[in-house]
Order: sequence, then structure tokens, then C-alpha cells
Amino acid sequence: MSRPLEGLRVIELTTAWAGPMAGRILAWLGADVTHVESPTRTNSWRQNKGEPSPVCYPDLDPGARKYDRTFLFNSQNLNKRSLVIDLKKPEGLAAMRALICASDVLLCNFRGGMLKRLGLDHATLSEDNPGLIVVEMPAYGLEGPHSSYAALGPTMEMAAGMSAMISYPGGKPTVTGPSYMDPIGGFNAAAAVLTALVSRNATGLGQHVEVPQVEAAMQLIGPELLAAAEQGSEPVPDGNRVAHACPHDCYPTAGEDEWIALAVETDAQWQALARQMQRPDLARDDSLRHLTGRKAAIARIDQALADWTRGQDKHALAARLQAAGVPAAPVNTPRDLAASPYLRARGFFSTVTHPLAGTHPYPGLPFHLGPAPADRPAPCFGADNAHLLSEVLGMDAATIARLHAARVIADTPDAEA
Amino acid sequence: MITALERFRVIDLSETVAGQFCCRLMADYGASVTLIEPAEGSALRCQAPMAMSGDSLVFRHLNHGKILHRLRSGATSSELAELAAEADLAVVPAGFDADAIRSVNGDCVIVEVSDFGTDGPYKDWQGGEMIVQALSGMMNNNGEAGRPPLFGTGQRAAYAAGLAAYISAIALLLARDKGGATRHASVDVAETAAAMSFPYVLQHAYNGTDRRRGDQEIPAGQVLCRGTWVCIWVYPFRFSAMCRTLGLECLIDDPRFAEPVTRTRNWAALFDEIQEALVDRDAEEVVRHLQDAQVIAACAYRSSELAQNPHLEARGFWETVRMEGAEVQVLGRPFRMSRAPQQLATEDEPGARKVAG
Repeated sequence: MSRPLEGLRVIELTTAWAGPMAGRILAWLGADVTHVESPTRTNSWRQNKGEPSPVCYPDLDPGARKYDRTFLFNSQNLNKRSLVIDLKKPEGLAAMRALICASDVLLCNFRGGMLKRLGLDHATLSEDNPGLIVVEMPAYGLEGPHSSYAALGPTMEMAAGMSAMISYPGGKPTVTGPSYMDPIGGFNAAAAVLTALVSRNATGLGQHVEVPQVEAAMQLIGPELLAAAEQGSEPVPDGNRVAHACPHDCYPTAGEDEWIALAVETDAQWQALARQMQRPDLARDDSLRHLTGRKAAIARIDQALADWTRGQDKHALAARLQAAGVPAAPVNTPRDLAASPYLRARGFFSTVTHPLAGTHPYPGLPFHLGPAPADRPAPCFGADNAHLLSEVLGMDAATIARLHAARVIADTPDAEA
Repeated sequence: MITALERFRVIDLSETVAGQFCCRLMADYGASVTLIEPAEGSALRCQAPMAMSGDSLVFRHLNHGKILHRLRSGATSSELAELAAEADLAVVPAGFDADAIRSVNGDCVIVEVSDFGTDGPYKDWQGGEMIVQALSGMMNNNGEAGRPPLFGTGQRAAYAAGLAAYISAIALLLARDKGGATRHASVDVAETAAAMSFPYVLQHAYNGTDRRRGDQEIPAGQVLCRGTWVCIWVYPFRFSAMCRTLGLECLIDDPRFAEPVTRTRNWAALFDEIQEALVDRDAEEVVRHLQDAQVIAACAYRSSELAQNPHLEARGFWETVRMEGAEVQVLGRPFRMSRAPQQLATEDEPGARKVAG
């Protein structure tokens, strides 16, 4: 099948997760995406600074080119090309500018203002390329008192109001895993590119799109923010407990640090749960029949549930409870995910062979638009320099060799870049 | 008005947070979107939190900017057929009879959104935020070692699936422009949640390790300033700058923290020291000073604080729209387009907005 974005050239000046995920989505949809790095500043997910952490590499071995072997970079840059070019050198900047002028989309997730400093902003480049779409992803937007603030996923989650809604009882705000904001920013930026493409099809003109990642993520807790804005206060976070369901928590199961999540949203589900527990006393207890009563007795219910779940297999118990009409799920670890029957049936993993990292199943994206072609591995550092400079910019081999010798382009990073 | 998607007509039959969010984004960027409600009204009208007026804030957030259309009681297929005849996109729940649309409009793109899809081993499972976050691997990452994992908050996976549905829909509409034949996509909330989980499943595939909460703490911590928590990210090369900015020069040569390795080992003690120094300081001021010194930090805003946040106010983030006869507050669009400036529109027009204040 031909994919929706075939024929579209995207240049990606990004690092870590959010920007690369946006480019990965566009690449999956068929765009020709080039991930750009500098010899002096590699993508942080290549893990090229400091002592390598063995858990990042195939067989715990960083190997000779550790920056091409980390699961982090390799997870988010499938189906792309790699260009490594030094924008601090005049010839590098000129080539970059020419490449963008021959492209449809420039995606940037560095701090606001960087493109302008380099003369690569939309206002400047659209003179030569009126169809160019430039999408920037500044954490706090391009204007406003906090627009110059630097941010990472966890600090953006704090600023978006999410972290203060997630906490153990009486505890401090919590971040969601290492960074939940990045994939949200990735989805939003991909959506922004597609929206601008529809507009360009109608007008022939590109545009500048700003994706302020904190504001864009606030959409995901919109109703809670509107309630707090109107009422001037908000519910106090209490672990996994929520207002509309009880019990609503996770409980220990067989094994070390293994859990099952249970979400009883209706009185009928409570009765079904009590039957599965073989606790007619709980089922008959009028004080527990409704939500309010169960909330009042939650300590007693939690104890009974934990006594019952402890020692049971989380997968089998969740399947049994779901069959009985009780919302339940195993709290999956990475090993569980790899074996997930649901994800396998959905075709979530695709087996990809990376020239330096070997063959592994890669987690996918939630898009199903007909049969998808096989994924290509994330590119090695600078792997497509020559292709881009010759095929897109028409440079001859001697020029490319000279730029390589002068480290305007490179296929190895400077030390500790 | 925003015009990027003005040539598209959308019908929203989804009856889910994900589906209605997808269609609200369509309306945000100029599509003409009709929410088709059953005769008794969308089930989302009953979902908390509620405004003081008694109206659902979930329904407001998901449906402002749309034309609201209630099917007549005992609606016939001809009523739906009429609405579907001109649609470019229909967003529907799992199991929806697509033929009802196809028979009158074979060119309509149909995006189906649900928690677990219509086939596969969990097709009969009940979902919900904590359930999909548990399955996704995210919940396993979230929280402190030795304590129960935390699912997060709200319905974030469902909203993200709405974004995935939006991406799928526009991709298919763009493909249709080029003669593409595919008219159907399906989006699962559970799969979206898995795609958003940190890729530890690939780490497992690379080397067999099974990452758990607390195995690899990020170099950050939180301290409670006067009434507000502040998150500080301490890159090794900004440690001295942070200490100087906070008046904690004494920590720079403290053997517990002098080297990155020992600092990581004594992370809790480091943040105890920072906490003691900042307990009576103003959070915004601390963050500003740290950012000036190129140390990444942020306030952990409570949601009520965001309503009066000066940064958001300066950006005109909060807006007022007219919905079902009342002026109501909503969040600004997620991304801003230079060729589609936000403009005031007539008040009766669906999607009319003005910046609050």
C-alpha cells in the first residue's frame, strides 16, 4: 500500500523523545524523515555522555559504537535517515539551509529562538520555500514570561498541573515514569504537521506552527482544570483512589513487586467481586452495597482484598475477574509486555534487524491504516550524509569528501558529544 | 476563525472520551463537526467533574465548538443516513455498523475508537484509565520502590487515543486527496497507552533486564517551598550553579555530593539540604533564579493555581465560548497556527471564541 505521506520530506532538529517520536510518526506514515544531529552535540538518547549504562545495550555490551546501540535512540528513530552536520561551521549551516529549502517540513524541539538565531526560522526560509511548514515545540510557548525556561518531561508534567494530582497520601507530587509528557508532545506535534499539510493542500502555502507542550498536555486533564478554575480548589490526591469508584487500587499478587489493578465502578461489579472472593459476608453487607459505604470502609476492604490476591497469579486472576464482569488488569512489567497476548494480536511489535544492534522486536505505534510495510531500523550516526548531500543537494563526491575531512559532516561524534 | 480543516465535515458518533476529543480537535482547527447524540443525550453529559451549574465539564471540554444534534426518539436509519451523506469523516465506537454510513457515502473515512478493539483476546474486557495504564507498562514505572505502583490521574490514555485518532483521520483524508483507497482506521486506547510507555520493553528485548520502579531514578527531586512544590533537575554539570543560586555553596565540596556517583548515592540527603534552605522561599522566585542560572526547574502547580497563572494569562490561554446558550470557560487550542490566527467570531457561530479577561 502507498502510505499517506509518501513524497513528503521532513527535516527533524530534535533530541530525546518528544521530537523524535513526532518524526517517527510521520516516518511511519510514509514521510522521508531525516534526523539531524551535530558532531559536537549528539541526540541525548544516544547516551554518548559519561559512563555507558550496560542496561541500554544489546547483551549489556556498549560495543565499539555505543551511540548506535542504545535501545533509547533506536526505539524512536525507526524508518528515518541520519544527517550529522555542524551548524556552527558556515558550510554546514549553508547546506542545512539548502536542505530545508528543498523540504516540506522542519520539525524542531529545541528551545524557542534557536531557529531564528540560526536564520532557519519560518519567516526567513519561507521567502525561498513558501510551502515550508515549520513546527516548533517549545515547552512553554514562544511568548510569555516563562517562554525562556528550559524544561524536560518531568518538569513539564509539574507545570501542566498533572504531578500535583498524582501522589501517595500526604506525599509530594509525582512524575509519571521517567517522562509521560514526551509522547504527548510527540502526538501533538505530529497532529500539528498534518493539520498544516491539509491547509497547504488548499492554499499552497506553508506556515509556522507552535506546539507549546505544557499547554497542549493540559488538554488531557481539561475537565479537572476547568473544575478547579471554577471552584477554586481541587481534590487531594490519594494514591490510586478516585472519586467515582471503590475499591480502585492495586493489590499484591504472587511474586516480588507483582500487582493486580482493580477498578470497581458499579455496585454490580462489587457484588461480582465479592462472589469471586467467595465472601458472601461482604456481598450481603448492606453497608458496602453502595459507593459511599465502601469508601467509608475502604481500610477493611483493602485488607480483605490484599489477603485474597496475595499468592495468586496476577494474569490468571485478572482474566478470571474480567470474565466475571469486574474491571481488572495485571500491572505489567516489561517482560509481561513482551509476552502480552493483546499486543501480539494487535501486531504491536515488529521484528527489525539493526546493523549494529542485532534483531529484536520493536514496540510500535497505535495506527492501523491498512497493511503497513516492514519497518527499517534507526539509522547509524551520520549514515545518510552522502546520500542527502548528493541526491538532494546535488553535491559531487569530492565536495562531500572535503566536508567530511573538515568535520562539517561526520559519522562519529566528537569525544563526549 | 481557524480555517485549516474548513473543507471537512465530521460526524461524531463515538460516545467516548477518545472519540469526542478527536472530533473536538477537528472543530478546533476549522472542520464543521456535528456531535450526534442519542435521544436521551450523550452519556458523557453525566460524567464528573461537574460545573456548579450541574453540567458536565467533561462534556463541555470535549464538545464545545461542535454542532449538537440529538437523534429523535426511535430514530430511523434515514436520519443517520442524512447526516452521513455529506460527511468526510465519521468517528464511531467499536462494533458500529459501518455499512449504515458506507451505503450512503462510500467516500467517508471511518475511524473506530475503543479501549480494546473488536477482536483480540481482550475484546470483551472492561477498560478505564487504571486498567489500560496497568496493562501498558506505564503503571509499573510510576511511584516509589517498595510501595504500590500509581496509575496517574484523569483519563490521559483516552485523550492520547483521541490524538491518535485525529492523526489517523487526517492521514487518511490526506491520502484520499491523492487517490488512496483506505477509508478505515481503528484506534485502541490500550495500544495507545502501551505506545506511550517508556520503551523498557525494548530494553528487555535487548538484554533481558526487567526494569522496576526506582531502578534508575531521574536526576531530579522535589522540595516544598512556601505552599508550592518545586521540581529541580540536577545535571552533573549544573550542580555547582544550582548550589550557588540557592546559597548552598557549602555543598559543592561536601564529600557526600562532590562527585556524581556519591551524589546519586546520597540523593535523599542532598534534597534534605535543599529542602531546609528553601522552606520559606517563594516558589516562583526560586524557579526564576534557577532558570536564570540554566538549572532546569518548575513549580508543581495545583490545578486551581493554573487558573490565575500569569504566564498562561499573558498568552491568552483561557478562552470563553458560547455553548448551549451560556458563556463558558475552556482551554485554548493545543497548538497555534500562524496562517490561522485566532479571531473573534460572531457569538452564535459554533466555535466562536474569545480570549478570557
